[in-house]
Amino acid sequence: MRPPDAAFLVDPSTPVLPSLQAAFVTHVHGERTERRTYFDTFDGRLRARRDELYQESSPDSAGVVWRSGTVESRFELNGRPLGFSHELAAGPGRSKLERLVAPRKLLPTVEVETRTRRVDVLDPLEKTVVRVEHREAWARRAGEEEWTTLADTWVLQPVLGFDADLQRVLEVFSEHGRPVEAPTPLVELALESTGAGATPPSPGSLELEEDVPAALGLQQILARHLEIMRANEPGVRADVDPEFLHDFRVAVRRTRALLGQVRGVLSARATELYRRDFAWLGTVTGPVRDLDVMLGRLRKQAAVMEPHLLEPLVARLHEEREQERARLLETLDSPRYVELVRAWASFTTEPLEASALGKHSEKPLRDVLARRIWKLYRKIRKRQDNVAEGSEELLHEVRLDCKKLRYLIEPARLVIGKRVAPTQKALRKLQNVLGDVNDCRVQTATLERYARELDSAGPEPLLAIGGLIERIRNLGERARSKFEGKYERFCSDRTRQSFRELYGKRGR
Amino acid sequence: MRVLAVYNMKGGVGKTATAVNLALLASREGQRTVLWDLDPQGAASFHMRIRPSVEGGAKALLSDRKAVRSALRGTDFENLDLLPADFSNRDLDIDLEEGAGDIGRTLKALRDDYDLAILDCAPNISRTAERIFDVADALIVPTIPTPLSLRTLSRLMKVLKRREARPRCLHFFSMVDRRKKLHRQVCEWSREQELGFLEPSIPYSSLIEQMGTRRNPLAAYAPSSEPAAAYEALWSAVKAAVVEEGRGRLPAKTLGRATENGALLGLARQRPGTGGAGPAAS
Repeated sequence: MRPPDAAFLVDPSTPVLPSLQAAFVTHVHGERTERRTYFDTFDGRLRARRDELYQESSPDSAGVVWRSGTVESRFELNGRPLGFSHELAAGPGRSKLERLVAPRKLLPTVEVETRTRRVDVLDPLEKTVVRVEHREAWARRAGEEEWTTLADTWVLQPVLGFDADLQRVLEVFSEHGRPVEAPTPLVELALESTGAGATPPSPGSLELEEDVPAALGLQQILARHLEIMRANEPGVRADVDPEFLHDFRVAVRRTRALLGQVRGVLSARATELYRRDFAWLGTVTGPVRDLDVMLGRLRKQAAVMEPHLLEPLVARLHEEREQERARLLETLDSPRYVELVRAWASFTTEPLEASALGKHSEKPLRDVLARRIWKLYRKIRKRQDNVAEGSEELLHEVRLDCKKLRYLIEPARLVIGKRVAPTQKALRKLQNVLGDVNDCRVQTATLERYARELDSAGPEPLLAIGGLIERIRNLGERARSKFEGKYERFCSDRTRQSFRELYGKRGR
Repeated sequence: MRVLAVYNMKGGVGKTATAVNLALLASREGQRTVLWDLDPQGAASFHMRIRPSVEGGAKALLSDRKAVRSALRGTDFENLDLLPADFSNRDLDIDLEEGAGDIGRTLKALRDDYDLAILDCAPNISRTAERIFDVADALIVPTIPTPLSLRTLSRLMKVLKRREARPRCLHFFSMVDRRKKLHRQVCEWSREQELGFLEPSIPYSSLIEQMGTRRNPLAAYAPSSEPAAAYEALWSAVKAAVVEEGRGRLPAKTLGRATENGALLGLARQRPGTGGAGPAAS
């Protein structure tokens, strides 16, 4: 029933309060100063949802607050700095937060200091007729010294039944400030003004003309994958969280897939060396990633098993990870890697020589990708006839083809648009099952190897590993039993029709 | 929306102070509260620094939803609005008699926007009071610990007892002056007789009287004072009896206080000071 609040952004140097006091009797309440450090993942998962996660700097509040919509959760830190969500005190709030951000680390983004005071505008009876909240704010990027002054926010909170007084107060503010529909969240203002809100590059945010020539379009997509690698490299080096290496490797894999699958656009001669180098990069970054996945699985298992039973295995994995990480860092510092990145940056951003171009380089990228996708889809379908049903060979071949198909459909979305979504969805359903089967197979083999190595750790840890292998094997079998159904659906006439309409001759 | 009416047919017993302070305490707990000043004297409006005037007068409030909404005023406190008094409230009985509107209709216009309505009633026992008994979930009855006040309370009980459906009656001692022997004796005797008074009582205090000069609820200017604590205790007791237990209006046959009310009727017949169990004889 009360009229809505009215917010104004005002330049900090504008004398609003004196103007208000010249026109009205006011009561100025005491100031309240707060300092908060906001956190988010490297890829801004919380910001994308308009959630806020912050730590108040006042000595009496050692916890962390997570605001999601109207829900507020508080977590105790118990003297430890905020890092991974699984380190927070357990509870329903933590589980929700974990689902959103894990396995990413929560990193400080901006620090914001606010000074807020309330000013009551009074009538001759000294009755409050309008409440005004004045907020001054300063922000700085996490870890930096320099503060940036943000625009002052004045929020007018009308009091029911005193509309005429409100109008008079509004006139004063209209002279000095800019009305805003709804006050922008403080963290958003802070991220924008300090530049700390820049989101890391992603393949989906690349904008391409619908009929971009294949070579030019492919070059831009490949350049974006290199940007992603570079954006993630510092996080890989500093070992911030496992997702940096994961995203780095995905960019490498996408690059390899495009170089291998999009044929006739770039000459095979020009790209052959790069293909070999990216294959090498994929291989040398693999062991740390495999260990990260295994450790992640063990962390989840620790919740349902006696954690100490898994300790020898976890210690062994960490030890091995340290060695592999040292190798990985050597790779990133190696002349081969440095030269690859340098040369690849120039290949993907500078005009290509005629000798580097293939016969389809001038065709629309859309058509080149569509043709290749359609061909690959038919190939996956045909495997049904060529390979015995239920054989591991079929599963393996289909898995590899699906990976290639995925890395073709993703860039196709940039030039064809959202229409590719149903085909992506159909593929994802099949890939999820295939991925689970493969992960479980790799992990059971790895665990069996560790079980042999940890023979001297005593019977209990070995039994624990045995239990773990059994559990993972069951998960794998469950996924395996779903494969035929999913594969059949993927090969169904209906799915074929979706693929054909988009990527078949008629679609093109 | 729950409706609590601060009522006593006697004047000067602390009704307005009770209504204003309980309304503030409720609003501070986050309950969207409206305080309706039904007394033509407009003391509750005065305490809230709001002009006791309603466009169209009391008649408009009883009959016109729009008039109710435009008469509402925000107080200086979050979650607390006031439906101000108007001098025409003195004619409420006539308006109700003539069928010009109804108190229930006014409350209906408020129920979507508020969790709680507190009515500061005028001291009388008239048609207006009868309608208040109909619509209120509970009557909060400040009672000065004197035999005469107990007699008035017993009269109220008698009226309520005759009714088919009646609100819960939450009586408590108000303006208790511990220096006065009579006050002490009446309080003690009422406890012995199990007359159903709420446990907290409000002391007589010049701090409460200052509400008139400060034009503010007590809890706003002396929040840690003894009388402010007494109002907090009273609010907790009222909540326990009505708001939190979610009882609302109870049918006559299950009214838990019937026995105590009977005891009060007996007290009125015995007249304290003339023998028996009266306070003057103890």
